[in-house]
Amino acid sequence: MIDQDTLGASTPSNRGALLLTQTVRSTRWVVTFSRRKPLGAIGGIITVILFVVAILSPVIAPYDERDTHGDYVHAPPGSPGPEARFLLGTDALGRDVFSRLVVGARISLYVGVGSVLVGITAGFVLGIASTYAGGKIDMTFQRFVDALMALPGLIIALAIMAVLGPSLNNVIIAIVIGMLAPVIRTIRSQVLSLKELDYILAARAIGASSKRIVFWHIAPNCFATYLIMATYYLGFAIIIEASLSFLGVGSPPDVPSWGGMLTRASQEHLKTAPWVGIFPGLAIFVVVLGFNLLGDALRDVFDPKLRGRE
Amino acid sequence: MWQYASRRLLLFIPTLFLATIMVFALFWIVPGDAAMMLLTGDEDGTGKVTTADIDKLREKMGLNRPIHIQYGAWVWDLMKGDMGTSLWYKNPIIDDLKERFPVTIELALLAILMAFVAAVPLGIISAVKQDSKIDYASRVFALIGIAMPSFWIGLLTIYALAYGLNWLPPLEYATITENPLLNLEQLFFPALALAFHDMAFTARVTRSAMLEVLREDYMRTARSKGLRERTVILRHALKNALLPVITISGYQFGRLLGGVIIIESIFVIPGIGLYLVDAIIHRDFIVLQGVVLLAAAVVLVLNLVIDMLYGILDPRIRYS
Repeated sequence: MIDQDTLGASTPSNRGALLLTQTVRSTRWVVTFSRRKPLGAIGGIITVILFVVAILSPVIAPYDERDTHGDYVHAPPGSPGPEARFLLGTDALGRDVFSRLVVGARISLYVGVGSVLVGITAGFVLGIASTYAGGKIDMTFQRFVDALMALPGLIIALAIMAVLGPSLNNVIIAIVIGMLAPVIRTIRSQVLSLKELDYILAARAIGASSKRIVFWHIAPNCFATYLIMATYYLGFAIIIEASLSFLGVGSPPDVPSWGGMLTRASQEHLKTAPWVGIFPGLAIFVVVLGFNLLGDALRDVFDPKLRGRE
Repeated sequence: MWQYASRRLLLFIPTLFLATIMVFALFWIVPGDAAMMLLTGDEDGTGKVTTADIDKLREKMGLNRPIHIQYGAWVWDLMKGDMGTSLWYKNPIIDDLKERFPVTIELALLAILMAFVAAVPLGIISAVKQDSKIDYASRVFALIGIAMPSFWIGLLTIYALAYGLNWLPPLEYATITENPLLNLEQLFFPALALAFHDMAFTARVTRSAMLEVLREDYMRTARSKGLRERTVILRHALKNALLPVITISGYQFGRLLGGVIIIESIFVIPGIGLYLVDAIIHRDFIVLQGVVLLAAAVVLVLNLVIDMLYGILDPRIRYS
């Protein structure tokens, strides 16, 4: 309360100073984090690079990702092209693999961030609501979660895509449904253990309403879990999107998704033009590895109980 | 134990029931129904069907009945072992599944076996020699294995085989009863590609389970009574650490089934996965429905079996 009052009374000048101290503080946090968790820092760097590439893809990509170059079919990596070198070679239609990868980063990130925002937020709300409702409602709802949990993520996503048809937003819906059950479970167990803590009892003792307890005491304490899960599930979403596109039911064919770049067409030319298949897979691998490294490190930092475990 | 078993079983039945509702509902929201799909199929009749034709077929297939009756009829047929007839293959689905299911299970079991044989020793060494170079290498391997998408591993395996060994996946599939040796040769590399992710995961879980057990008091007791280090690790530590490893791996089976679909379609193995992918390509929703439900049932039964085994092996579970 006192903090909020001083914040409210702050003049523009000391608000600037506050911003400065906050920037310094967060920079210091990043430095300490990287020193203690070098692998996590590598994951963080990979994540930042992915975001930068995705945002700047039109500037970075030397060619339009849809442009076909009939004279340059299956050009090996580094071979000269009409405008710039084909850094990572060309595919069966003479499209620049590097440009497609760069634009593909945008697709992966769109699907990844979209699924994580929708899926984890929904899981969060449902998990907390179900736990707080308790009793028969919770019991019934959890049986639904059990049933959903029995459907393997990729299989349910495949079925949903078959029903809805290929489009990027449908991919997000499919991934969200595929990840919802385990997310709800994790949040639920977190909330159940938080509920038993003394400070919740204290809040209740001074007469705080359930609504207040959920919004002011439970939800903020789940934030670390949210962040950690978001990092892991970004990797999960990217792999599922790629798998769906690989099987031909994910992103529409004209979208340069990393998984779509690896479909049958590239498989048939694996021997003559391996780069068409190798680089998109490598991109997925590096990005997912980055998210996992970052997630592991964040978990260690935020959840001291788990430190030293895997 | 009986109380625990019956309680667990009582949870299993409604869950399976809810799973059938979910699978049914999922395919109920498909725009158009089976009758329309049959008549406006890819190869013939587009545009040549009249609404009267569709209505007639709907009546024959029972699609004009209220939704809960349709669901009831579907479940009733399922209980009699009738999963319907495929729209594309025109076969009873149950017959196709009977043929394909053993193939998938063989592939999955082979992969699990490979993963365990490689991962458990790796996890043990990693935990016993914590923070050594071997530990570090095995942890990096685990991280790499988990981040590699299975279709990429499959493609790289094919690439390595075709380029390095001049071996390509054979076109004709031989079952284990027809030709066990050829069957094993065919499934070895797909299983290896499939096992890779599990290997990484199992090694990770084994390591952490071992680390936890190694800190227990009874480890000190075992050492102080003069047992050999090997006995301490294998008899006293591993035996206790393996239980959670087996459980967690069992729960991972659903994820493994996802990988099976991809590996089967890359290596052209005629199992459930390939069946599912073909069904999606031909928009054969009846097959799709059957396979999704089968996957859910397999996962649920497996979870039930694991929980029961756990109850037998670890008495603490029964009473909590």
